Amino acid sequence: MNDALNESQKKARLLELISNEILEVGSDFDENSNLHDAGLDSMATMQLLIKIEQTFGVQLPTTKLTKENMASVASLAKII
Amino acid sequence: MFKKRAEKLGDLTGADCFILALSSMMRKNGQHELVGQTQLILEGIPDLLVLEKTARDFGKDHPILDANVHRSPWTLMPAWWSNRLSEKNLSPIIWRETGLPNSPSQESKEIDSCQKLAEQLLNNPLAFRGGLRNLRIDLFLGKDGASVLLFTWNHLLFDGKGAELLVERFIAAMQGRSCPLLPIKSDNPLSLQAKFRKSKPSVDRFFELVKNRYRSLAGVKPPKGLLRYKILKYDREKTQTILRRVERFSGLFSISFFLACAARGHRAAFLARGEDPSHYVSTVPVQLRRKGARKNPFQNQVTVLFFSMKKEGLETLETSVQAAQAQFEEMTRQDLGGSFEMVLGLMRRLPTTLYLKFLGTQFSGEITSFFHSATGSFLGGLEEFGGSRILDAYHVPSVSAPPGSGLFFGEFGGCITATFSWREGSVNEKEADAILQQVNRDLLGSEDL
Repeated sequence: MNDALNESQKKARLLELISNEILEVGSDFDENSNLHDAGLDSMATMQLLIKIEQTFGVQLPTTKLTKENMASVASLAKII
Repeated sequence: MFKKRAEKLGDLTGADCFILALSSMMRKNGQHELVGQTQLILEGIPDLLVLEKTARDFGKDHPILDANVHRSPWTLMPAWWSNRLSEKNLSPIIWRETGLPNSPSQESKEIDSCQKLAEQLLNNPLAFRGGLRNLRIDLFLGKDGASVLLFTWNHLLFDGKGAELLVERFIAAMQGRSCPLLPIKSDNPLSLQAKFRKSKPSVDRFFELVKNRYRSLAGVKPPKGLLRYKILKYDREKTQTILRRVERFSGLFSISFFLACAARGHRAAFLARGEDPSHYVSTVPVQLRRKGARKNPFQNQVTVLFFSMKKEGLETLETSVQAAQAQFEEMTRQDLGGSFEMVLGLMRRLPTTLYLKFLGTQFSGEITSFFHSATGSFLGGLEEFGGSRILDAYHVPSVSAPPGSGLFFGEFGGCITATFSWREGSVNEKEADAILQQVNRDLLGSEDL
């Protein structure tokens, strides 16, 4: 499923998913906003990964789950 | 024309009712209320006039801080009710360390140490000597020139995250900035049938948990002991070591690492007692994430995740973290937090005596093996309180017995603090030391204490 989506489509879906279901973010939240500063803690990270799996049909390998890769929607979209 | 005597401020949430039952159990057993404390260590003394004025206005702006809980005789729903006729102000109480002269301009009471004051506050009703029902503010002036600000709060209204938001809100008010409280929509539109369906996975999980006969250090007969606490503080260098270990053992999920440390610490206390229970159960609080919720200090906690650890899994830190991580993923996948929230919501109208009966029967007298939480980075970005630099900040939660003990982790200014709270009669000094030594070894990967 994720192959069919280009980078900007992935970012759009991630933005929608994060702002509707994972974090409480303001209207200025965009693909470059820092997710950790926006409240992405252990609980939210686990919820996000499961949502990514359900939405994009892909399980992210543990080696890619780094603070840097999870820093923003833009960096996250690159590893999906 | 007539001043309204009382005003309903809102219903209690399901998680509140769980705490209401715990607090009632504590009062019955001479343990007072379930309260927590947030301590800010300050360089010098904050501006007392500003502190005094802000506290007074803050109390008036938040009537819930002196509100009571009443259960409706018709619907049985418990709710917060304010007393509009109350003339009580939120007024900071000033204490000075023994030997420090009393200032003629600022009346203060004398006390031996800040630890003694903190324990006195945690072991008395909040309203004692001038506090409001749900919050009191005390300032301790030390002989070394530093001061400690103590916010002591009712856990029925605040959790650790909520207390942090309260301090942020208070600091904003001191600086003349107001943050309006946003309404939180907590009604669940699901039908009763759908609610029962959603609650089923967590009910099934309970039956699994209670089969395991987990134990707490307090045992099932509640001791009347006073609340005590000890603190481990780690400087920036040691905190970096801990954070590297968190990353190595649990990646992005620090929850699993700190839970594993707390579980292994508690096992060390049982081993020091010559016992080795087969299972341990602990809870992880889950906060609100709905719109408008994250800036609201009240009613922030909505549910909990119950973790269960086998003694074999606790042999090494690595296996402990793996066990916690696997459960964390599974529980998130099944939305057990949401499911338990539904259970708590359905139990809101249960009178406290029946609630306690349910807890006693379902949990065989033990609520959990121990309490635990890790609040992460604390008061991010805030460096000053009333003109004084904040040197350190952490929570000191109180605990009910059972379970009688809890380990709490937080970070301020790049330094981690671990607080161990217990009730006398649940844990002795030797066992408390065994817990802290084990936690320290796991945090740092060394014998260094």
